Amino acid sequence: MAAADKLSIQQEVSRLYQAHAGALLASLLSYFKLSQMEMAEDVVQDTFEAAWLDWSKKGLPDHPKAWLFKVCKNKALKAMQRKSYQDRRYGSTPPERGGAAALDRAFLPHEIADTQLRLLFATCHPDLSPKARIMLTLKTQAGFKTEEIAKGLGMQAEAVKRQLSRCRAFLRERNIPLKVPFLLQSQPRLNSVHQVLYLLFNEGYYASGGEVGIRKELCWEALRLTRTLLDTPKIARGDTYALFALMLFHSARMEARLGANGIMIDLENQDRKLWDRALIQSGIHFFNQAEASAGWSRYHGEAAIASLHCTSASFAKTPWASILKIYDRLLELEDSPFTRFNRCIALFYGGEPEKAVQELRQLAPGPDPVLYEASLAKLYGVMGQKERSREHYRRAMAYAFSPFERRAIREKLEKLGGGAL
Amino acid sequence: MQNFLILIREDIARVKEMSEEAMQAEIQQYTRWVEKLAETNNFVSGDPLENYGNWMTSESVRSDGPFMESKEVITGYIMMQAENLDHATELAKTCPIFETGGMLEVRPIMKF
Repeated sequence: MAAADKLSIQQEVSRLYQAHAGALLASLLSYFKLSQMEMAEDVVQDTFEAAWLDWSKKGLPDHPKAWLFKVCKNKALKAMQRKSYQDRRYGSTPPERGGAAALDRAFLPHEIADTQLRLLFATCHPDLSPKARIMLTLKTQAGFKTEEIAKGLGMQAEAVKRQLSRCRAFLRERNIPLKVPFLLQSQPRLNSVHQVLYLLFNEGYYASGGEVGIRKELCWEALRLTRTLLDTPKIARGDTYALFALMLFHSARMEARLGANGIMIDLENQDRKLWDRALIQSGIHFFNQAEASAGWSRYHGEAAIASLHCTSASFAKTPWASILKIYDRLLELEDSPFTRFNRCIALFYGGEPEKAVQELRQLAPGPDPVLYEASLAKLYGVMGQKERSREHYRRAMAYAFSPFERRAIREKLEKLGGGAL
Repeated sequence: MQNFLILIREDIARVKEMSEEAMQAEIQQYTRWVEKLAETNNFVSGDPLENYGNWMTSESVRSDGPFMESKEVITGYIMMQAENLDHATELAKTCPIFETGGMLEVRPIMKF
């Protein structure tokens, strides 16, 4: 086969992997049980390796997707037979699975959609850390490979591997069932699912580490999964709509935030013409639906603020007073350093810079000292206090790890002048 | 190991009048119960039932079945695996249904 054909087959295999690995894994898990996640993952990997080997020799089959599902089913049956044989050999009774018919049922399209949803609720288990829930979600819903998760979350591949193997051990030891009656109706569990999708989106949107391409995929994955909640009317609540709207407003600014060399451009300096109008419109549509439902959540508040930014003609025309009110309401709901921090920024541009900086100084640098110091530096710069600005940029530099952040801070310092680092 | 069908019966009037908070508290209880059964590998499957349906004989189809007014409507089922009927009964005793005055039926699945 010509090299060009091989390349196009390789691209097709990786496209099919992205599109279907999650569905295949979910089907296998409903057949194998969650406790055998590793076996299910191996079967999926084997399936795609077999596809690559077979297709690069014989060319693409007529129906690649059907080919994958069929081969995956056969491999699953074989793996199960092997497992049953081993179980018997070591004296334990293999659980009943109903053989090929049960496996066929697990691969029915409506079963797959249901299983994926149940899998999402099962892996957002409160006894796992939020970070572990995010990794499991990426692994089981989107078929992310360990290295991709590491790149997306700005972690070492080894650390991701360790954490995932702890997750698998948890699912195995506790024998967590995939289909717990009533679980899809559980409000605390839905809260956990919301939180995981929110954090997943934020990891992609805000995190300073990681590769840009992969991080965008985290955002799209969070959007896609939130959408599947909305497509299940019995599950979706007002805050599900608010969460989706929030993600849409942020996504609308995704391209404009990203400078040519990977440096994040702040709100003030973004080219608003690059904002995606269709996504903003869509965000408004879902935000209205969120407002029409009962209750008010942090997602409502954050979506409201994002919508005000998205619909302002310019940074100077931002309605800071309205934004400030929403931050006050968010603080009433839940006092967090993150909200306090953002409120200070709104207070600064809302016309009380001295007070804002004073309040900001009283806050601890928190989990993101780079952002904290760089923000103080920026605000001092706006107030014309160059020396203080430089001082805080230097502090930010001391905390900064990622090359993007370091480059961004260096550029700011160069603009301020007055000596090197 | 043998499979058992646990039929959950309760007063449907109580279920219909439950507040959202009470419902959520019960869901938490059942989730914990099922996770415990699963941990010892006794849980197979289970589902709640909608509180409507059709009751049929050869002559009629009725949506207000003969049991709808009673305190013994089937509201859900659990399939579990256990050593024997005694073991299944012991496991079923831990079901949260007894805190709300419901009753259970433990029936071995016929196997030959």
